[in-house]
Amino acid sequence: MSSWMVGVDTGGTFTDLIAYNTETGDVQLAKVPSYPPDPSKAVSAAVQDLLGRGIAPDDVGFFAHGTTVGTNALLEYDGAKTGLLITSGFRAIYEARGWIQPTGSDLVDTGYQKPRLLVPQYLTEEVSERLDYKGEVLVPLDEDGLRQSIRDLKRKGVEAIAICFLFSFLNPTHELRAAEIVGEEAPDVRVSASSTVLPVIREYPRLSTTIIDAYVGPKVEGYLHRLTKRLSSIGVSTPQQFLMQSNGGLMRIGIAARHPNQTLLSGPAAGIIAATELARLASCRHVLTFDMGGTSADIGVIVDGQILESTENQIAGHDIATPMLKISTLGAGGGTIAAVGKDRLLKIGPESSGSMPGPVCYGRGGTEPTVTDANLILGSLSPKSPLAGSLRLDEGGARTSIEARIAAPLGLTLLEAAAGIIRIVNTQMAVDLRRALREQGQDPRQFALIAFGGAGPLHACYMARAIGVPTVLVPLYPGINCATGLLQTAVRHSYLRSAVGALADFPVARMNELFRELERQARTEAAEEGFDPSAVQLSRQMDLRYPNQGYTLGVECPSDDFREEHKADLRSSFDALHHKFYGQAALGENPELVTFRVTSEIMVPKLRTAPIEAGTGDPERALTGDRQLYDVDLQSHFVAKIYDRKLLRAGDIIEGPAIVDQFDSTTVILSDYRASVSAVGILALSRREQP
Amino acid sequence: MKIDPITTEVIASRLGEIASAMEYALYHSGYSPILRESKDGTAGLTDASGRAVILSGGLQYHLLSYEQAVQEVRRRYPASVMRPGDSFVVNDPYLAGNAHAPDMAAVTPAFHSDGTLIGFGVSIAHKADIGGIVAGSSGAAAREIFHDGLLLPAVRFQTAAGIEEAVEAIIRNNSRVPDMVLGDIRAQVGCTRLGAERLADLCSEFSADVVKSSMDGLITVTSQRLRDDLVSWPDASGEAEGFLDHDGADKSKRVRIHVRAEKRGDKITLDLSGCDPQTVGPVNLISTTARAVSLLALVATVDPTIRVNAGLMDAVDFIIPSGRVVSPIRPATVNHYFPTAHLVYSCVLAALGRVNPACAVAPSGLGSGGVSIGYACSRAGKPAVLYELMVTSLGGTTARDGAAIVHSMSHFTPSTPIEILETEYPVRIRRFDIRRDSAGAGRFRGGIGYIREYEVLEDCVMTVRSSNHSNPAWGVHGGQSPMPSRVTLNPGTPDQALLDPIVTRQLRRGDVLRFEQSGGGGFGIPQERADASVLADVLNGYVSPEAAQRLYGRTVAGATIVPRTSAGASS
Repeated sequence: MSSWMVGVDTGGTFTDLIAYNTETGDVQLAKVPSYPPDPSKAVSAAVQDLLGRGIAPDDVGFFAHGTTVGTNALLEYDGAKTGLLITSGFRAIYEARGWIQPTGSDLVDTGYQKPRLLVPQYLTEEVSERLDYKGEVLVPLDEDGLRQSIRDLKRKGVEAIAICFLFSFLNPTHELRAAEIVGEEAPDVRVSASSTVLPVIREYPRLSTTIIDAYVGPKVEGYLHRLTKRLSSIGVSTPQQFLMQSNGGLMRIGIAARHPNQTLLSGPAAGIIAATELARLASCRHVLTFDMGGTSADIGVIVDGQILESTENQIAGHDIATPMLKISTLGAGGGTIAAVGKDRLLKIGPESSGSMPGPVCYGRGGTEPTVTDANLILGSLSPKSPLAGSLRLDEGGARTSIEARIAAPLGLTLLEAAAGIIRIVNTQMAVDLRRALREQGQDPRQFALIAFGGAGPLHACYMARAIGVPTVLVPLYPGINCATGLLQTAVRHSYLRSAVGALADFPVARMNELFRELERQARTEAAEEGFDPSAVQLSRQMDLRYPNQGYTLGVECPSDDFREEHKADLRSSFDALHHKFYGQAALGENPELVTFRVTSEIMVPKLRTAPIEAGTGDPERALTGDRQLYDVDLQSHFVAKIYDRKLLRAGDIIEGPAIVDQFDSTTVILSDYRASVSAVGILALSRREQP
Repeated sequence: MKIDPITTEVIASRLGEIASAMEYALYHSGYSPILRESKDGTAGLTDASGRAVILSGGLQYHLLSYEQAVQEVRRRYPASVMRPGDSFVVNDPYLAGNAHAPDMAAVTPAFHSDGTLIGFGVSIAHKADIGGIVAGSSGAAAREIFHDGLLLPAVRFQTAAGIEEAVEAIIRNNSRVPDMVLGDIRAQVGCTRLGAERLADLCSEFSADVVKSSMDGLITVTSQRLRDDLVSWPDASGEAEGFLDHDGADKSKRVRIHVRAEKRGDKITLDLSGCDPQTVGPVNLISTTARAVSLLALVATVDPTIRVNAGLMDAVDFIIPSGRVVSPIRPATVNHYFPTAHLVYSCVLAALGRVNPACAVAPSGLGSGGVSIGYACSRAGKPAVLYELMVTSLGGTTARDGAAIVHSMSHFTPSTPIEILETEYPVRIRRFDIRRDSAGAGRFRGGIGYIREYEVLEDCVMTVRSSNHSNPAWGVHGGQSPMPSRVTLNPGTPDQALLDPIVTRQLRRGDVLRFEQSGGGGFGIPQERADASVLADVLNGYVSPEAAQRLYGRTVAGATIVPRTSAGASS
């Protein structure tokens, strides 16, 4: 009864489902095609697929979802018609886009463009009001003028309004009053006020985040409404329905429509959560996550089980300062296109054939060679092993395309061309993996690489070789790892408020007052989400910087009242953290407080990975055949044995060169690697001792 | 030479990784805010002869200075005395080709394990103060380079045994903020040592021959690509000129920049001999930088995705007689070089657009610059200088309006958020607004300019370093000039005053300083602009209804536009 937990993640091509029975430990998987016009259709189709296996709707006691609705609205400029209210005289804050400047080859591109404004100037209204840097009123709010502005915006047909006044993070009165007046003048219009969305210092990131919140808000709200209706129409009516947020925590679907800005990295965040859980199971302290899918590869760094958060994020070129798991993305996936550049060197990406038409070998009309086509030629993939159980790969198509478009123009053989594609994409990914480690001052030898996504396990051994990571871990279901992560986290919210000042001089009473206010907010929202306030775990953080720095680092604070003598500890923690990230600390300088932060966590049930059946150590039972596999580093062919992942047992040892096929992914074990199957089914790859 | 299309691309990615690791180390281990936050510097790698293979950072015009800095080091320290573990610094613009004295160059040779010299790790970055007549070493009153501060020839800063104490002592004794400057130099030298080490590691991984031939290959490929594109251009010539308002010393006389471009076959000749003689004031541009910005303009015109490296030089012959404002002879001062560099870049773009009209684009607005406001007492109770950079906007192109509020040609880090500025300094930002009608009109207009107003809340000293308040950028193919940049003190009051582009003043509490920044130049005949675009511009406040009428020949009333008539289109 109510013993099934269900996680559904919407991806570009497939919508993945994992279901877990908390009593029996039984796991069920489903993969259905995504339906971009209304993703809730595919979500409900996946759930129905599950219900068709004899699970009653009432048995679903927990439902968690990762969505791309908000992200897609941004990517496709398909959000609401949005109006903006700003302090009079400051139209250039958004126009300048935080002074975003070109980099790389854009530096001298005379046609360089900044990302298009989500709110054009004609939907931006200036409001007569102004606060000073202490939050005191310099110019009172002109309510009559404001009413007129709101009526004008309403007449122009806006569906949402963003409000961002200068210094509102110190004193929200004007913004809140403006929101009230919007409620009176235009009750159907959704309002996002910056002092509610993200009350932190720096006007542009706060403005941009608030605009994104307003812009995607109506879409996200409408989507969640349709989703809950569909779920209840098929009988899934548990109140335990959650959405994954960009910070890796869940929030109740019922309140998610309030925080659309927090939904934008929903899927990738879940992938990182699953990787964290996997690292715990494998007893790895530090892991590097490598999620390679059809169009891109996402990279995350987990140190001591902690995932770094970032407040300087961009989605589809738009700045968003909402705290999110730090994930770096590069345009390298299975569908990434290879082409001869104008300089006659081989170029990979960033263009992608996407999920439609996809690689040439998918036979859906793609003509440009991709990474997947090269993997097929080299034997990493095979026409005999269909992808996702049904998609047969057309090797002839891949060959023709690589020959005509790469090999012939460059005077290479087919094999050289295909190997070149993989060498270059591997180099690019390894560069970014190393960069992710370097930026956190970390040593690859202390890390394990967790490879997932449809294509991650194909390239993982090459990555490990290139960056010097000793171990690669491949989860039991690498292709639905993000759905898995939905069932492995807690409800989590962050509450932020900026108050700038030198740490040494900052009144302790004021600190405690700020923290307590944020904690009150956290408890109130937890109650509104239907949780018992006593179940809420709260933690305190302060973001500090050295004077004049443009970036801050978050330092943990004691959860009880902050006292004067705590300042020295806080300062040395900050110095140490700065040293860790940047290799130095300005010990002589007096750090400044910038932002106070309270994080709330509420535990919900989690998927517990059960041990798999133990074997004899010999994987012979899973052997299905062999094929030629070309190693692009060693530039030679090997005969690789092929194993069926389903039939592997705990304790099995597989010697490379080998290939492990499964429904949702393919793992390549190169000739100098050996894989072992852990008690819970994780495939752990490590380099064999050199003879 | 046969270039391996795969290995070369792999090595290019790896060299890019090294350069960005160097840049990261430079910015994150620097001591001063100018390095940590403004990112006024670059880091990269050259081959053994000093040819730049890759630069990371926003100031790609350091390209040729890398080569000259390496050559200066090699001249003073030939192979016989250069050892693994050595690092060098040099900042004399007349020796190393750095744009001005505060831009220090650091150079570290990279040796393969067998002892062969593979290349150099190089970095050029701005220093807060290296002496001279004013703090910051860039005085408007400078009349010779000796007024700009300490001028180091190439000197050995570090050996395998450690930092050369004597050199550090000399630098320490010549700066107003020695701890900060030495902290930054150590960071900078450190990043070149890191680059040299990584380059040597790459040779161990791939073999020195593969790395060297790939570096050669990348330079060849850039040159080849540029030449291939140039072949398809018509053989033709074109000229362009532009003016600085004055040189900062003699305010009665404009300073002329003139470029003649002639394309024959797969090469371009750029003749800058029509530029004015070198000036007494500080607007001179060292010829190394003049050539580098010209090369960037060429890349911008031909194809911005060409990899910027020393290979660009092969396609260009320069004619630059010495003693011009773009080729000053020692001891001319060069500290306010930036507006001249920007103008040379814009003139080369214009001349190339005349050689090949199909590639013409309108220039970005002129008159970018900076303001510094020095307070005896900041909010933290200490003396403090508020420093902000002003930018302009890009010009229109064949297909698009120019981007708003960007540096063309190079970039530094954005200015400080208003909420941070007001928290840290006794200043109030009264406006940060779009500047209506500031963009050059055209079928594709320039990017919009902006207005930024500072009210100072305490007495202070203000220095403006801008340019081209009287000589704006121009339009192309029938497009119009943008409004020029200008700076006004106390606008709208009885003591309102337009300020000179290069000026230092005492301000009183309550004074207001208004910067109005130029938009970009217009491209194509304004009357041919689409109705919908003109209407959107008026509704968005970029263009006034009067300007829509006067410049675009359109009547906008309320939210509607009277469509263009066929007569309007042909006029």
